[in-house]
Amino acid sequence: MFRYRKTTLVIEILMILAALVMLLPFWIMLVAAFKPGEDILTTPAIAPPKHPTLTNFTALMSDQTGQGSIFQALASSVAITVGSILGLVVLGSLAAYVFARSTQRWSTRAYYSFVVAIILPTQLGTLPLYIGAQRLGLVGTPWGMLLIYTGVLLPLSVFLYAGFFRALPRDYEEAASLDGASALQVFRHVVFPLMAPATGTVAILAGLIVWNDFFTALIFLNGSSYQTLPVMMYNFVGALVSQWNLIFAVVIVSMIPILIFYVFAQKRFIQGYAGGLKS
Amino acid sequence: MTNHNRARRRLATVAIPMAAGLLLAACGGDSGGSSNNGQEPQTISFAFGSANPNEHYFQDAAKGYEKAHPGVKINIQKLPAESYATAIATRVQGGNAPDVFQAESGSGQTDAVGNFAKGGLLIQISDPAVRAALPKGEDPSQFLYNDKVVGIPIATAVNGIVFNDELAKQNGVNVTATSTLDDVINQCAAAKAKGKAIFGLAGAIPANTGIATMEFAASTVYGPTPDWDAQRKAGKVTFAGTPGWTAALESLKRLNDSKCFQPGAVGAGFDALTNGAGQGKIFGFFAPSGAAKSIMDGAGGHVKLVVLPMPAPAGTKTYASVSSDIVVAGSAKTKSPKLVEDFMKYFQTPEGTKIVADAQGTIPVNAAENATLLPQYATVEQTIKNKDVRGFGTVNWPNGKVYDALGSGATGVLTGQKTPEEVLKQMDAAWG
Amino acid sequence: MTALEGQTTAVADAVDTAKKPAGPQASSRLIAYGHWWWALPALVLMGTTIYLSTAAGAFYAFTDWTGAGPFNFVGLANFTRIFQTPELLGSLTNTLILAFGFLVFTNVIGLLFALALNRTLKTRYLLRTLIFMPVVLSPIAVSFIWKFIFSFDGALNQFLRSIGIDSQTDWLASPKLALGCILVVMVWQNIGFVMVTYLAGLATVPPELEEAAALDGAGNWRRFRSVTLPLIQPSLAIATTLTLIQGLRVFDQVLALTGGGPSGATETLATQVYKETFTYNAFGAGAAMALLLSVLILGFSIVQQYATRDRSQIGG
Repeated sequence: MFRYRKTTLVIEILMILAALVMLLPFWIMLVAAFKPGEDILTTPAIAPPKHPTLTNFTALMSDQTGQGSIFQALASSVAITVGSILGLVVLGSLAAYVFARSTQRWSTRAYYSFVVAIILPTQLGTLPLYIGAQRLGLVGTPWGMLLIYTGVLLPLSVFLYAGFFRALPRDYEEAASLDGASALQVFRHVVFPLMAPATGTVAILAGLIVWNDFFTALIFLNGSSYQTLPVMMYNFVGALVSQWNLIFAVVIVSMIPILIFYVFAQKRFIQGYAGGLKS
Repeated sequence: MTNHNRARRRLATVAIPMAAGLLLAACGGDSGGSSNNGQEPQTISFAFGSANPNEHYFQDAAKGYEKAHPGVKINIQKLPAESYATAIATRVQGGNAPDVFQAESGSGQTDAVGNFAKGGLLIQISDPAVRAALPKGEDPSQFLYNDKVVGIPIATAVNGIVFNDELAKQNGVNVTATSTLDDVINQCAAAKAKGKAIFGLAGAIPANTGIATMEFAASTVYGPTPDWDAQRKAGKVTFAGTPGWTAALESLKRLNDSKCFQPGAVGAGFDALTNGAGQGKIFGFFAPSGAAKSIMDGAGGHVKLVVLPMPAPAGTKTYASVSSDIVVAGSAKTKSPKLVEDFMKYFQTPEGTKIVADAQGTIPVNAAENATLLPQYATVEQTIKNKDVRGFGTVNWPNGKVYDALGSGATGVLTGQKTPEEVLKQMDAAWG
Repeated sequence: MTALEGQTTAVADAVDTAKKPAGPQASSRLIAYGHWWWALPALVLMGTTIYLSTAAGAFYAFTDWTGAGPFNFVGLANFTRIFQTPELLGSLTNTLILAFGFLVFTNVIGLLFALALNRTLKTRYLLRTLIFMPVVLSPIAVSFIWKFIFSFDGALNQFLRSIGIDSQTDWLASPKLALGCILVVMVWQNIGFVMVTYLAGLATVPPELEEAAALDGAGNWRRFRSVTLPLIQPSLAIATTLTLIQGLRVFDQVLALTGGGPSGATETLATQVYKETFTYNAFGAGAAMALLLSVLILGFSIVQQYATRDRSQIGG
């Protein structure tokens, strides 16, 4: 039935073309980043560089624009993303475990408060959060970002974990309890390791959201020494105006970490999205 | 009703920890901005905007100050001019301000000191000497809050046209301080035929379309009615009801319709001006006169630029817009208030003033009547001597929205989205 | 937190459309199953950052607060101002245009791609990976690539000139085209995401069912309409709700591509919230617009839940 036919070949060719068109912007960026500035507007945008050069990348290292170093932004992004993921995994799995195992009414209600929070738009809360963080002196610090990202993404984490915990038979815990292990020991050494797929999904979904977030980081971190990559990039581009060769060098450097992840774990990424949505 | 009660109880249980959080937040409010006298940190941050990588007057001033005060370190934060006002306003109001930063005098722009000072966010200098050294002949209230100095102007500049006279003449275009708008428009087609544009416009940047319109308004509005802003404040006039404002916007549109701007002007950024002027594709652009020097430097000295007032439309006398609206301000939250105040005062000292004026190519604040101006001002010298000058209107406006509405509205007039009347009504609404 | 909403809401929709979350199982004591206070940190943090802050935001929407100092209650004044100011009303229209355009185009293209890459094609795994790639990148980064493409001297005009069209179009500066340009970037980046959602749905369609329909003489369209579509109903619900919400919240792409210009032609609710609040310090007005945006998002997601659910009942 689903054999490879002539029409299939046509579809295959069409899809390859479509994918190429979709990837064209990346190609344009890539070649521009290796062109000297004067070639950007004089040579066709899709033509490979005639005089390939690395100066655009070396220029980044020397921080000519006064925007702070790209490595600092990279470190900031990594720290905030990793910290948020840790918070989401620890707090989220603990809460979800309690919700999944307790039959008491409050726990069901608390669980529903997380589910409802998933649907609640966060836009409106950003302004009071900003004022609160300002009063506490958390604006312009990575700590404020950690708290906010963790708090706002906890519903996602709790929801994903709760689904997995429910599917986990209680036999594991019962066996371990009989051996005299405390609740925390059971959780740490028996239950949590079994949750690796859930942890992976939480880390990928939440990690991507935090890593790519621009709005919150712009409001809370702009101009501080903890600017994340998207914010630094935004300022960089403003300072470089139309020096596209330099701009694209920045953009490429900012994309490399996530693309490396993607290449090695693309299946997990795609499943994370599709699976996270469906679980 | 049990449902209702249950819901209320549920709300209460959630609300308690939240309220605790809020209280915590409220308490933290007053702790900032303490000063530990004598032992304050000797490193401060200094932020400013720049449209041109070759500009370095603020850096020069910081270096000059560091040199004169060993042990002091000033960390430079150079921000893109296109988004500077918003970025700095967000930071100052978010309690995340740099110790010292560039701002605008008065209250009419997003980054104006008047708006920040109202929230108690700026250092207030009560030293009478500082007050005495403010530019004479300009309204001092634009630098003050509660009678204390909150912004120290760095230089006096002509808001006009930064113009490459030599290149224009080579291409058969002649614009002088006495040219009328029609004189200019009549030459636009000839310049375009040679692949050049008489003026460059950064149409995507409200600050650029805004300054262009304000330069026209210096002649069409403030020329005949120098106290127009005061009248507007008193509610005696409106933007929409003042023909001079309509004339200012229409003059800009006429330049655009007559193809006096470079191709793609409406969507262009500041780079179109600096690159265009550097490469000789445009002869001039609208900016504070300080922009001339950095472009001459950037072009390696083979470009000579002069400063011209904006030519007024027919039947109107040309006035130059001269102001000292770029100031430095200090954050009230700084840990080094004394150092910050001293660094701000540096911009009033003879050394500081000279460093900025030299590197920026502007007129030192309170320059003597007979002082020799830089060569680029030769073209406007007569205008200034005749006192055919007006200030920069926006400093007296009540908020940044009015000027933003003008800048973005002017773009809308050029694209045909808006009529001048609509823009002016929007400005009246923004005045509040 | 613009990006957050999209994903998290999808999950919620999944709950509704897939199955009700299974309630805690019948018999259980809490021994060795964890203690109630393990959930406390998460509850407090989530409660503060989501419920408390949202409630506070809704409160300020009815005040003239400037972010500091005292404030007055102004009733509905902030809202009437939105509907009386052409610029603000324009941003509402723009938001709706972008959201629905985004919904239609990403879903149509994403579904077509998913159908094409579902099986048989030899390169399907590679193509899926490549088409999904833009999804993982930051919207602000990819917007800058497109800014170059659309710029006056950029790749698009260069291409048009090379094929003999003397394009003097300034894409992002044209009041008529700029919004479309933003839409293109949004659609381009999210096709892969929608495609993956539909692929997950298509994986649940048993090939035998389609074969049977084919043997009955059903054409491609009828087979899709009566067999495939009802079975991927949950995916459809998720993908459409999600794209609509993401579209309503659009911010990054606008700020990077046009900054809201020319003359406000591409301003959206989210960019206006940012401007009012953080540029002009009008917290009350900003909160009112954020409240309006939130109500829109909530309202549309509820409407869409019902719309997609009803159809599934008819179809099933």
